[in-house]
Amino acid sequence: MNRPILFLLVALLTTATASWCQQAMDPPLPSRMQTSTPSYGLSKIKGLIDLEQRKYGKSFAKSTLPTGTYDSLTLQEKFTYTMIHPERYAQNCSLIPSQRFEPDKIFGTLVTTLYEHTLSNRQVSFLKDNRDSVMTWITNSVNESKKMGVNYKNAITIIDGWEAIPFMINYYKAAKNDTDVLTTLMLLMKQGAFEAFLHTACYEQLYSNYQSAIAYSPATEQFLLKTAMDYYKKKSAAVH
Amino acid sequence: MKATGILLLFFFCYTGRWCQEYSFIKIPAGTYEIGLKGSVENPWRRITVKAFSISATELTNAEFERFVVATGYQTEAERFKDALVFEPGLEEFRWLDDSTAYWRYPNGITRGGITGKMNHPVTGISFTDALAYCKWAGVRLPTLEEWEIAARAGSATKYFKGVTAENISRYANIWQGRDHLQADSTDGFMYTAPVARFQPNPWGLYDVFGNVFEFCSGSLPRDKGRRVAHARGGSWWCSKNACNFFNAVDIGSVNPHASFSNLGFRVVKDAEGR
Repeated sequence: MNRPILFLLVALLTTATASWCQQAMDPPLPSRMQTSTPSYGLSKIKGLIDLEQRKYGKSFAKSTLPTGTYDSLTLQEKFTYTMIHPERYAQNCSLIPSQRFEPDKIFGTLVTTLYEHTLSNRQVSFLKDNRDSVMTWITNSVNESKKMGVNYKNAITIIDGWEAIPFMINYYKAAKNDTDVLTTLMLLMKQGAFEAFLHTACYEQLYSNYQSAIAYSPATEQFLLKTAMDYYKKKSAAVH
Repeated sequence: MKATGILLLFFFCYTGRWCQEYSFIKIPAGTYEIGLKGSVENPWRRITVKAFSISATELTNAEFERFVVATGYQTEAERFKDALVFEPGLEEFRWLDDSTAYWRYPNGITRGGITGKMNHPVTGISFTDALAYCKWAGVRLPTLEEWEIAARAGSATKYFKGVTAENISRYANIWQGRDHLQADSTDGFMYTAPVARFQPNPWGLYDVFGNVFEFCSGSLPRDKGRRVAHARGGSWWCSKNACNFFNAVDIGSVNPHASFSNLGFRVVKDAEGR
């Protein structure tokens, strides 16, 4: 065989094998850290982020979109950007090991850090200013993908999206092992100072320490789902 | 007169050398136990290391100032105006952007500078800044393993001998409040404390727990090939109700360009020199 062609084949094979090995060796992301990716303008947003990252280097948080570029995005594109590219540095200890790896637990808090970053002020403001749309976009995306990543759950707590409670309960019933849905429901009840939740053993155990978790049990699950639905009904009644 | 001058010169050289030696603790070559049984990210294991010397204290503002004065170095926080600062009243793990913050004003100009705090650990610097200092000073950061060996001082638990979750405030400047909504100066310090103000570990290292997180070199599987900085030991911000990182097992992750007022470092030199 022609020598250059042989060399090329060997090089290609080596690269492909190395890449496969890398993928095979990478530990999977703990389920509590898995995120969802919205589809709105995704390739455009990825392109813009890539452009900024080239200016500063891959891991540089200065790869936030400049104000002009950010302002020119549609609301849906801003949503995609916010969900896939948190802009602010997260502090060194914000990823707590026990919160990532303990199975069969229901935690009081969600993981809020994605790859050493967290949401910036303008991203939080965007979510709050467009809360109804954000809930719709999240609902649509979850219906499409059948997954609700931690970034969506965080967004719901940020916007105090109590209206999404029935949707989350239905999602939870379909994807039962995602106990972070229960966490999200509890955070909403806590934010709303829902008395029926604040005076429970669950609340006492979970919200005296940031890392607290309780053991999963069907009884606890049923209690939390029912209490969350009661909270939703109370809020709905107050609005109407 | 000439003899007195020579004697004085000799005295200053001698004491200077002594001080420098005194500030480093030699860790002998050997096999050490690190990690903790049951830990996913830092499992128990034995590792063998060469001898190294690690500074007894975290690097101070005074030492960092000498570097800046000698080189004119500008930290990343000064260049990019992107340091993060803390003030009481914030939810857990929330920090504030403050474009005025850098190592001379670690929590921003309005919250005061380092005047009178030259013996406090330098903060408001990034991992990249720490590497720049090390290059200039002819030292290096400890590896993740070296840091743990020195911090544990032979202990098989996540604390060095003598420390418990109940008495750790004797050894570490940490946050003792229930949360970060109210200021906490229970131990006399809300932010950093002067280095070596709290009790040392059995090998003579001060502030391995608390005061500031200390940058280390090395990577973890969870980095997934990305460039990530790791710092260990907890900080003045850390509380038992929040991260609880003031121990010798947990390892933090932070962007290598991030500057926080609870991030600092201590240095290492190889026992035979660099």
